[in-house]
Parts: sequence; structure tokens; C-alpha cells
Amino acid sequence: MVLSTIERRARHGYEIAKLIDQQSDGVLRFHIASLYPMLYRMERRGWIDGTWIEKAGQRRRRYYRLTPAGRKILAEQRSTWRELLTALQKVAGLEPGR
Amino acid sequence: MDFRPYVREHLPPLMIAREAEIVEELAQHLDEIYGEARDAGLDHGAAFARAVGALPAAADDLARALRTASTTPPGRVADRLRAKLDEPVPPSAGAFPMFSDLLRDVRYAVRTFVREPGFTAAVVITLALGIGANTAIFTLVDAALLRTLPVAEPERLVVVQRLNPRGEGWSFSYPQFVYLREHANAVVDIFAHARIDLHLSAGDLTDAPAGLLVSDNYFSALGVQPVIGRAFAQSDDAVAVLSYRFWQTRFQGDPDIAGRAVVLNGLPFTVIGVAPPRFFGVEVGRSPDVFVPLALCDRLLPDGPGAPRLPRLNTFWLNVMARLRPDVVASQAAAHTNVVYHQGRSEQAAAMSPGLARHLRQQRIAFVRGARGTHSVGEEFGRPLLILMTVVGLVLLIACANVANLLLARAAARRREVAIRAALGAGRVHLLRQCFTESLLLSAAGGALGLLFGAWSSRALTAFLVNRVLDVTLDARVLLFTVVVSVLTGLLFGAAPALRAARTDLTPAFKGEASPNASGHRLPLGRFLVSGQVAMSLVLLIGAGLFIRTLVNLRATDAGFRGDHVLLATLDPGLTRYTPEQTNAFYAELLDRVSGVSGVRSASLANFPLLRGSYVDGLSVEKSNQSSETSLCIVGPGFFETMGIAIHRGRDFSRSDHSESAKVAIINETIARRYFSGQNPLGTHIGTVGARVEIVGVIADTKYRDLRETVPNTVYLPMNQAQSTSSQRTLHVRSVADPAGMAAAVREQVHALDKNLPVEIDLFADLVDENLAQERLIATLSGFFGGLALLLTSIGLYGVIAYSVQRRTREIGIRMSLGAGRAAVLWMVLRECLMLVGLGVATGLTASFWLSRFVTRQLYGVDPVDPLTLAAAATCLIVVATLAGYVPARRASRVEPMIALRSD
Repeated sequence: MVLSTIERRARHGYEIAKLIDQQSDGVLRFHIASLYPMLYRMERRGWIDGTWIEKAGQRRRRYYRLTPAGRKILAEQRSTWRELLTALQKVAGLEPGR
Repeated sequence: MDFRPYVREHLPPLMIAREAEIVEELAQHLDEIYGEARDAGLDHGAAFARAVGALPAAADDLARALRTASTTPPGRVADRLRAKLDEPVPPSAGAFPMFSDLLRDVRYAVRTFVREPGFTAAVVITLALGIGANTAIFTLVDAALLRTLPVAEPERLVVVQRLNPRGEGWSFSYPQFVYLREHANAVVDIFAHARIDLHLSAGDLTDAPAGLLVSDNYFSALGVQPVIGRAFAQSDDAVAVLSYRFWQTRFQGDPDIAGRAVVLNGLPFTVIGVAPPRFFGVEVGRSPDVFVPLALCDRLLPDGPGAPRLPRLNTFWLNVMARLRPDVVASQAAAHTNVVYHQGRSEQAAAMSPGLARHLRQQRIAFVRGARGTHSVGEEFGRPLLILMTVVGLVLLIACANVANLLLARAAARRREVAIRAALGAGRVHLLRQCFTESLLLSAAGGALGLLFGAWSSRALTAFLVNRVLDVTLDARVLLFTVVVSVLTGLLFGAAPALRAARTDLTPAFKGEASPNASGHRLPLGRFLVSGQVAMSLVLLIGAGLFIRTLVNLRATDAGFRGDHVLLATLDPGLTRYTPEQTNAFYAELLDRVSGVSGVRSASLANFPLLRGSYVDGLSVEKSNQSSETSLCIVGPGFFETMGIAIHRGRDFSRSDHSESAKVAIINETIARRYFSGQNPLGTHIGTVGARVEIVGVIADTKYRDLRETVPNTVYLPMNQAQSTSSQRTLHVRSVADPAGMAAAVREQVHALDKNLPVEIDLFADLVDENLAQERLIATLSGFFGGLALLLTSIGLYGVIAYSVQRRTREIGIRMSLGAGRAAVLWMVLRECLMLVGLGVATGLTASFWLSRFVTRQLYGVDPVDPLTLAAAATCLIVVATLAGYVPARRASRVEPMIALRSD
């Protein structure tokens, strides 16, 4: 999920949290306590890459970008989620879009 | 708004490198929330509250999560390994339940070690030091004493000796060898070898390789096939075989070496082959560079007295070995060869003097096992190496005790875990097995690291074996030794915690109390181990002290000469075809030239320097019918001045002592004292080297062969009167300043006279070092290992005392709240430490008294139970040990009673 938010462009931590909050209509909310440890762990594993970027008139922020390894993981996880969702739909009798 | 101060204040310190960045990023996050809230119209207070509300109240958890997330090793391999280790192991099933159980134990152990990297590293490094030291010394022992020759079927080889009635072995004359080889051929294939000085030139290359004269069947009898070309054949004339190393270093491994022409001692030779890489002849510790046929001996040696050598019946110079023919037993072959020897003796008797015939008649032939070759290193370094083996053995025991203590302390901390496993149904055997699996894994890791450490340091150690070449490559035996030592080590240090684990009493362990019977907080076994360590360290320190004092004594010993500022240049013009007259003229000219060099105080010639080589002959003294042996030195005028030897009576040799004048000699004080007891020996005659000579001087006693000996009878003969069998001389040069600075000037003077003559330059001081090689080896290494033992022991002692203090915190608190002062507590802990040390010192002293008898021969000028050394070693140990105990004792005395009472 976090990975997908930075798939198209690099974002900073607050932006990531906010995006997830908005896109899930407030259902999923990331707190500092879980977000940053997760980011650091993914960075250590080489999935994402954080750099300090300074823009005129603002304090510098740390932007995270997806690495090729992260892209592969994202693809893997997407298919896992898809399989899981399909299974849930079949089992629970959920119909998509209803 | 800058939230950094706020974050820093509310987040516990992370203690990692990127802490500042993390704080900044979190602060930035809060700032975004704050900014957004302000944009939404909230006032400062409400916006601030919303922002800081994002930081969780349980900041500890956040800090921990941040810390682990940013410090976990980046390698996914590690993650995967950890995940794999955490997977449950399927219950043992199928055909190999034992195996899968074992696998589970191993995984469990590895998992525990990964979780305790500090503990694991401490144990593995301690073990690696102990095991590595053993591997290093054993590699030398193996190479010097145990390894068989790298030849075919070495166990069929024997060393052939001629024993006199006293059991002393003699070498052979060439006629004896030829006779034996012909007539004992049915039972043995006899071959001979002898060292020879060579001078080699080939194109631009000139060198003085170590030469070996060998009989033509040498390589075939040893079963050694050259890697290039062929070995000697009976029909060979002037041909040579090179050693692999010489071929590599001097001929750059030229593949077309066979057939190449070289000049040896002025004669044209053809190289016909190269010996295999690991072949070094049969004398362990030597490594000949060029092998030449024995039959060419007289053409290679310079003319002069003693030549030709081959036909001589009374020159015994060949080392003889043999390979037993198939199906022949050594004892029978020896008996047969003995018969052949005496047959030959009676056949050749007509040509002998009566004395020689009697000498030979008394002797018999004996075979000695030759699989390990003949030993020059073994004789000199065998005993020191065995002493060092004992030393490193003790170091390993100390290391074991340390590790056992660490494991015991850890086992005490893991009592609850063990109890849970026991409660869940792990049997005693299972717990024991788990314990030993852990120990053996640790010792295997220590052994592997120790092997690397040992392989590296054994190479460094060969530097102590001056002028000796030893093959210290790792072989199967060294590997096996290390494996066996590692396993034994693991079992030894693993035994203590294993027994402890098997005895675990469940209930108190769960309650976190000390079990009553094991009295866990005192670690009685640990205390015993520490005392043992102290005892062993003391033994090692005393040993080191004795050996170091031996070395110091030998260095300070009055050798009778002053070797500092003396430079030696050794030459042998005879090897490049000088006639004896040319040789004499050459030396006279060289001496004049060198004496004229500025910075030279005096210069003189001798047949060889003191401390290197010996020349022994009979001595008879006029008017006294005693006869005995004497050591001989052949020296030129000015030798005593150059070597700083005092002339007590009479005169030095001069140029007027030449071959036509009256024969003269100078004797040392020992002869004067022994045979002239107070009378003036000047003018008296003595007989030696078959001539009558008049004593013209008496000089101070000097050491002759080595620094340990009591001064032998020594007779000095003038160079111009003595018949020397060799044209080799050593020029002695005493310089005003540093003698090393004179080397180039001396070499220049030699090359001005003959630019092709090889010259070997040494400092006399290096000769002394070479002479003390054994003593330096023992002193340096025993000192080093003594220090290591002391270090390990103090760590062990510190560990045990610190552990005991920690477990007794509550008790100490109670004592202090009842009025015990800090000093009393300090003393209480220190007393415990001193008791352990005292017990160890007492045991160590007793052991040293008993062990000292084994090293008496190795000592010089110091009593094996020298009180000063004993006291110094014991004091050193007590001081260091007390310091090691003082640190935790001080900590105990600083305990706050209230905190202490709440602990545990």
C-alpha cells in the first residue's frame, strides 16, 4: 500500500500518510508510530530510497522513491492481494461493485 | 514551526547514527499537521495540540520500533536466515529421527547465538586464541619432528650409522660407502649425501647456492621423480639437479631449464632436472639448492691439503642412508650390513695406520628409522618446541576455563528457560545434548578461526628458526590436530554448564530464586575454575620469567670477546679456481685494502668466526703426560685486537710467523690454568694437529662454539703456518662507528680485486642472535603466552567476581542498611577475590616447583626455583588479579541500599 503511493512519484512521509487516509476515505489511517518504522525498514531492505530535498522557501523534506527491487515487490504483493481478494469474494459471496 | 526540540524532548534517545535525521523527519511531519490545521483556521494552541497529538504517548515503543527498523542488517539473507531459524522444526519422523533431532538442536543453538552476538564473539575469540596458539606450535612440531619425508614409502628408509662402543654415531669415508653399496646391495639400496659449498654462475647470474653432493642413486633410492628432466644416472658426468625453489627464484621457472649450461666452482655443468616442489633432501630444516654427483667431489673442491678427498680412508664426511629391499627386515639387513662393513674394513686394513684400523674395528653398523629424515632442527629445537607445546596447552586450558565460566554465568541466567524446556518434557539427555551441541558449535567456530590464526602465525614463527627452512604448509595431520583439539575443548568447557543444566531444579528456577542445592549465586565450580586459571597462569608467568632471565643472562654473559662493531665478510676464492698461492696473495691484498678504509679500526682473518663452526683436535702438553681435546682457531695477526680479546701474557701473532719460521701457538687461560697451574707456559711446547708448537702467548678465555658452554681448551694457530683444508676465510673488521655502514665499503674492496667472487657479509651481533635462536624462541613466546594467560585469567576473575556481586546486590544492600560501611563491603568482596587468587597462587607455586625440573637444561645462570622470579611472577599476578577484582568490588561498595533492596 505504501509502495503503491510512491509508484508514480517520490513523496514525503506526511504526504504518504495523507494519501492513504484520503484514498481509503479515512478507513485506513497511518500513525507516526507505524509509518516511519515501516519506511525505515523498507529503506534498509532496499525497496525504497529516501533523499532530503530542499525546495525554495521551505524546510527540507525527506522524499521516498520506489527502487527497482521495490517495484518487483509491489508487483508480487499486488498479485497476492488480488488472489486474496478473489478468494474472499468467492468465500464470502461478495460481489465486486455492489 | 520547528518541532525538533519537542520531538527530541518526548522521544527517548535512540542511540543510533541517524538519530538527528529521524528527529528532523518526525518534526517535519508534525509541522505539516500544524500547518494544515492553521490553514483550516485553528488557532495556534489547537493546531499545536493536534500536531503533537500525532506523536504517540507511548514514545518508548516508537523509539524501539524506530531503532530496530533502522538498525536491522540490510542483507535480506540475514532476514531470511532469521525467519528460517524461527520456523518450527517438524517433529522427528522417518528413518533418521536422531539426525533431525540433532538438526533441531543445532538450529536452536545457532538461533541463541545470533541473539547474543557479544557473548558469542567473546567465546569464539577466546577459543580461537587458545586453539590457534596450539595449531601454530603444533604446525612447527609437525614439520620439525613428526612429518615423514615427501618421498615414496618413507617407512622403508633407514639412516645407516657407524657406532663406537659408547654409542656415538659416525659418518663414513667414501671408500667405506662404495664398499657397502656394492656388497650389501642384496638387502639395501645405500645412498650418500654431503653438503658442499658452491659458487654458481650462469649468464649474468652469480650466486652461492647451498650445494649437496649425492650418490647417483640418491633420487632413485628415495623414489623421487624430478618434475622437469631426469635424475642422476651412473654414466653422468658434470650434471646438476636444481631444487624447485632455486629454479623458481633464480631461473624464474624457465621451462627449458633442462640442458642449460651453468658454471659451478669454475667447471661447466649441465642442468638435467628440477626436484619436486616439496622435496628438501633428507635433512629436516635444510634445503639444498643444487644437487651434484658425489663422484665429482674432488673436481668441485679446491686443491689444497685434504684433497683429493674421495680416496681417503681416514676422512669421514658422508651421511649414509638406505632403502630396505622389499621383504627385508631392518634388523636382519643391519646385521648383514655389519658383516659387510667388517669384511671391507679387513680388506682395506693394509692401507691404514694402526690407530685408524683400531678405531674402525671397534665400531659396528646400526640402522635408525629414517622415515622422518635426519634432524638438524629436531636436535636443536625439539625440546623448546615441546616446552612451547606445553605452554600453549596450558593457555588453551585457561581459555577453556574462561569460556566455561562464561557459559556457567549464562546458564544461571537461562535457568528459567531450561526449566521451561524440562517442564515441557525435555529429558535430561536431551538437555545435555542441547548443551553439548552449543559448546561444540562454539568450539567449532573457535577452531575454524584458530586454524586461520595458527596458519598465519606459524609462518611468522619460522623466523625464529634462524637459517632453517621448514615446510609449514597445513597438512592433514595439522588439520586433524585442530579438529581433535576443538572437539576436546568443546567437551571440556561444555561439561560444566551441561552438568549444571541436567541438575536444574524446576520450582525455584521458575520463581527466579537460587536453587538451594546448586547454590547458584556463588558459582562454586566457577570459583574452582578461576583458582585453576590463576595457578596455571602463575606457572606460565614463572616459566616466562625464567626463560627471559636466561636470555638476558646469556646476552650479558662475559664471552671474553667484544662482538659489537664487528663486521664479518666470508669468502672462498678456492671455489672459483684460485690456487693456494693465489688465495694467500688475494687475502693479503684484501686485508691491506680493507685496513686502509676510513672508519676501520682494525681488520684480521680467521678460518671461521667464533660461535660459528668448530675444529677439534687432540692436545698433548710437554712435560705433562696428559692428553685431551682442544678446540682450534686459525687466525691472522691482529685477530685478538679486532675481536677485543685481551692478551694476558706473551705476544700476538705477527707477519714474521710464516711457514719457514718456528711453529708457534697461543693458548687460552683455561689451558694455562689446567696444565701449567701457576707456572709460566710461555716457551713450552704443545702438540696438536700432528705438530709440535711453541706457546708464545696466553689470551683471555672466550666462548668458542656457543654462549652456554664452559670455555673449552682453545689453541690459536697462525694462519701462515697452519695447513687448512679449505680456502674459506672470514675477514673480521672492527669499525669505529656502526659496522652495518661498512658493508658496502668492504664489498667494494672485494669486488675491486675480483668482481665475480661471492662475499657473504654478516654482523657479529647477528651471529650472537643466531646463536641464541632457541632461547629467543622460548623467551619471546613464553612471555607472550604468559601475558595472554594473565589477560584471560583477569577477565575470568573479573567475570566471576562481577557476577557474584550482581547476585549479592540484595545481601549487600541489607548489610549496608544495617550499618556496614563502604570500606567493609569493598573489603568483603575483595577478600573473596583474594582468597581465590591465594588458593591459585599456592597451587601454582607447588606445580612450578614440581615442573621446574623439566626445564633445568633450558636455563642459564638462573635457578629453576629462583626466588626472585617466583616472587616477581606471583606479585605481578596478585596485583593484576586484585585490580580485576577491585573494579566489581568498588561497584558493590557504591550500591545504594534502597535500590539494592528492591532489586533481584
